[in-house]
Amino acid sequence: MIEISLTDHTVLASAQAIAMGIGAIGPGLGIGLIGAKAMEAIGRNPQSLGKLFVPMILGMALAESIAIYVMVIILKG
Amino acid sequence: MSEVQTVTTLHGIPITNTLTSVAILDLIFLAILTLLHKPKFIPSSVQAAGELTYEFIEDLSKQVLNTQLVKLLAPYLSFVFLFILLGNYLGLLPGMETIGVVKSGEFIPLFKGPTSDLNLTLAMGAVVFFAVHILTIKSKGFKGWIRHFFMTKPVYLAGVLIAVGLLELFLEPIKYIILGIRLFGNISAGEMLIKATSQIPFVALPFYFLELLVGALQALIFTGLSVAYFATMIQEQET
Repeated sequence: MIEISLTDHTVLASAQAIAMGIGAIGPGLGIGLIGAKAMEAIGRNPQSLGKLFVPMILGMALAESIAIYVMVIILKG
Repeated sequence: MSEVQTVTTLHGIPITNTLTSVAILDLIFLAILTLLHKPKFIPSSVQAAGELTYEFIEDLSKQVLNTQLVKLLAPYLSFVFLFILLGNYLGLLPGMETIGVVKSGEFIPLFKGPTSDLNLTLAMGAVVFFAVHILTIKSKGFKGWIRHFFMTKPVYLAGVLIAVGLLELFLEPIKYIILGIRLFGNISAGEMLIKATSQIPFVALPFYFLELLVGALQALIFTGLSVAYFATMIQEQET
């Protein structure tokens, strides 16, 4: 039998882990969708690579920032 | 842990290890400036690298900004790009955090990646914030600046439009705070990742190359988002 002691530290650590896990779902899906659509567009029209690349990266950064909010909250917690 | 630590205090002002790294970065930029004091017709390698960066940023901003704004902003934006890129790579330099002093039984590194300090990145976001809003007021006037937040079109929805405008006005600084936090979060997360994986030999190596990629990408993202913010505020079509 493993005894789990519920001190403040363990509760905080598990809360941080759960928050990061849930918080990464949405941005992960978003970045995946952006990447998939960009790949589709490049596959249809390979010349559009140069024009698509920077907006794709910017969209990914905006989606990723939601995961960054979670990470900042965890780091400050 | 990878936290910003104070090396010494100078007249009560704490000198942190990221501040010393910024000083080194400034020295690098001064060296580049003295090297490029007289640009040559046949460029040296340093001059060619600088010209390539400038042309890249100019092409990036030409897609959304008009020629007058490109002339005004491209030098600043390419400096920011180079500053963030070199800052990220300075923090990734092997052996960067092994030089240090021992203070009351605790090892304090002298240098640390400058972009992993929230103060620096928030200050860079604040510069973009003030630049965007001052340039908007200069080009459109105070009335145009207000009109950016408050729409006047359907008069019967005035109450809703005022509420939305107040919300927009309140949320405007958040965009620029997040601009700084994004850079800080990515770089400090990368540092922590490398530190955690370097306990086992050779595991950290692929993550190191990933961080090289992320460092360049974050520099591009910061400048690209700055260009996008300039474009949305200053060059918006009148409705």
